[in-house]
Amino acid sequence: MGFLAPLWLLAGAAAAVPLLIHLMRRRAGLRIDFPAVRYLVRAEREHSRDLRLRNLLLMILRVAAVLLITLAAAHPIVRMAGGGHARTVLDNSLSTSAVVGGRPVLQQLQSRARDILRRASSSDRVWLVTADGVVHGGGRDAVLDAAAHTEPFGGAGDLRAATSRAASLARAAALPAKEVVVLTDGQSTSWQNPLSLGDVPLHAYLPAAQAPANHAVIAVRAIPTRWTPRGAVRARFLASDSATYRITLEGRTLARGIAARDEEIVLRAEPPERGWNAGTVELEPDELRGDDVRHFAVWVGPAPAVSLHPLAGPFARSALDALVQSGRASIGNEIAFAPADEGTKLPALLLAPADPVKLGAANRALERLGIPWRFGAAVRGESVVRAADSTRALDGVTVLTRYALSRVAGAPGGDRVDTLATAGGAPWIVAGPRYVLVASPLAPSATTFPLHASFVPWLDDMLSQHLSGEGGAPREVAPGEQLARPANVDALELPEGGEMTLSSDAFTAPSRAGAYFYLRGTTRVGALVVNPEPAESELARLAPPALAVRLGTRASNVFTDSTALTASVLTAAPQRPLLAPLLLIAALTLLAETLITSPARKRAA
Amino acid sequence: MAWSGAAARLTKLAYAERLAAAIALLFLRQRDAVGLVRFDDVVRSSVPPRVRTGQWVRLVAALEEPGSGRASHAASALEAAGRLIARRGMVVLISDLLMDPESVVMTVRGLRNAGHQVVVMHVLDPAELDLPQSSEALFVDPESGVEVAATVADVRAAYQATVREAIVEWRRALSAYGASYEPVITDAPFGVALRRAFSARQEAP
Repeated sequence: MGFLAPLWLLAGAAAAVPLLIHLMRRRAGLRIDFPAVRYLVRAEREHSRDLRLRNLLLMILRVAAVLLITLAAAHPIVRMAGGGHARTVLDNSLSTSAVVGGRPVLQQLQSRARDILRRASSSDRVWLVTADGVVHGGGRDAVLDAAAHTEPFGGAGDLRAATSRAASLARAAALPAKEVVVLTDGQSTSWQNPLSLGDVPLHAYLPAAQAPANHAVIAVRAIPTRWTPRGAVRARFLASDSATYRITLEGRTLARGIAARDEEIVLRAEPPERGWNAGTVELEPDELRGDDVRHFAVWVGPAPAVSLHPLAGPFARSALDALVQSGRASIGNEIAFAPADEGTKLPALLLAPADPVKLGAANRALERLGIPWRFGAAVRGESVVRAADSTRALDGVTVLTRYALSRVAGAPGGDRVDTLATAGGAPWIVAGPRYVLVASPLAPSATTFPLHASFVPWLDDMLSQHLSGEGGAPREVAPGEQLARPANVDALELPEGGEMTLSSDAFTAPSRAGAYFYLRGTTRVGALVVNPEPAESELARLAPPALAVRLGTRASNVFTDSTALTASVLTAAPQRPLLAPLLLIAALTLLAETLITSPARKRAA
Repeated sequence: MAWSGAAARLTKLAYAERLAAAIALLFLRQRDAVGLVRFDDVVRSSVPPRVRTGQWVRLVAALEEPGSGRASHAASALEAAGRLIARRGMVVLISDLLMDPESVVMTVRGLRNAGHQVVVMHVLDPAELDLPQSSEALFVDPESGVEVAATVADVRAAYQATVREAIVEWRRALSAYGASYEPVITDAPFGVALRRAFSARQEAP
């Protein structure tokens, strides 16, 4: 409830008048000679109880009438129940876990969220949208509970998307009053571009305190992705001064040191561990603990042994020689590298035959090996190659001759295939359990790929990622990122133990940073490394006016004062003046007073 | 008795004196012997009943005597009146009856046993039936000095009910012994009261 003319409330003191009259009535100074006082004494004695009740009732009615009239004069307005529709966007990105003033910023934001939600009546419709895109609804109490139990997200999330989503949902609601409240730490990297929410009113809150200084590990990379068994760890730090770091592998400290400001460190190692290993690069804890540790994963083991068929071509030979010389591969019988028609076992990297006459033999070999693909008609003409994972590794590669690849419906293993690259929109390089199939021969007359700089690294990746059983490059992603389930993977091994079954073709990356391992059965066949975005470590905050510009709202709608924020939210709901109802009740009160006193007045008249 | 609820109205005493004089005159013209006992807390004066010429002048002279007391003792006045009447006759009590009824009723009972007809004329000011127009006031009995603070609007209804009850009680108590009882309001014409007094006289022996 609010008042348009609150000064009139002071007139409520007039309610004391009937009260005082009631209390002082027996002290009236007027003296009247009246011989029949004995009747008056008798009347009061015999009707004292009725008189007291009547007087009390009259006093209450008169005090109520005065109070109601003064209340009406103050022009009270009340918000209509059920008209409010507020979506609260709570920034729970990693940066809000920074400790400022002795407690995490997120706790301050949660307090503001609870303040706002408590203002809502039980019939208001409120939601909570967090930076990781989770929407909580189900009534005020449920949302209050969700706000209280919101945990910091492991990464930046997408505040702009969360805000836009909240606005679009609010816009679609049928309620007349709707608004979006953004509770954020104002991190500038979260609000880089202006946001347009249309006509949905938006309020924002950001803490008044300055962001703390922060140091962080912003990049870690195992070089190469497969250690055979030598390798290196490359790391970069964000720090305003030198920082003490530690590098671990499977919990074992590989190195400690002090890195100068913005220095990139490289640690070379030849660890005794074998298989997939999880490692970390750590700094001493500071106010933002979440970015003081960055994870990496690396496969450590012998170089894959490759058996190269002579008909694979001279370019395949040259590339393999380069890998052997760098220790990334060896000559052996572990992996076959041959034209498809010469393929006799898996794992194998198979090429389309250079001679079209051998297509039939090639398809029979594919069938014999259980590969669910078949070569079709030759397609001639230049087409551009696109990598399926959006990397730029195959940019510039063209195909002149290829064979159409078609999947065999119902073939064993047909549900676990990856299209690694397309040419002219059709599958060109496909992979599945223990095979990689290229739809062109590795000859300059068929494709420019063997002449391309990316060919040797690609071959390295194929041998290590797809064909060496356990090897492959770890996938580094941000928390909450949407991912496609890799072929041949059944589950994800969690850092704290246990595993998460991957049953659908897509899944969401875990919200906690760490090194996760893909499992096929009980065997680690790949790694998923979840680390916060480097930009999340830059804690610089926007000033309120700048944040208002980014949010597309007025500067007056951006608050650093929690009280002002709370008073401004959920006030846009339809309001109803109470003047008329109060006057009506006052009139009824006075009418009741008149009815009680009228018999005496009539007789007096 | 020397009180009126309105300045333009006779006091109860003046009304009662005029009423007494009128009754006496009418009875004398019927050749009835008429006497007078004037009292307040004591019997102030008494005129024995006579029929002769000049009796009315003596009665009026007695009525004109000044003074009114601080209380009313009707019982002693009635006893004095009973002593003045040698034969069975009629006793008319004109009073505001602001007194305890027991002694009055017992005396009336004695008069009735002696064979006298008793007529009680209860003189009331209209303001005594209702209450004076006022808001909050301190009501003071000018005879006894008793004070009561009251809000007129609040107690008016209860007061009116009490006065009605008192009149009913007087009527019931006096009627029980064969006495007539008539409330007389000071804003009513004398004729009303006279007619009632004469109707009682007709029933007398």
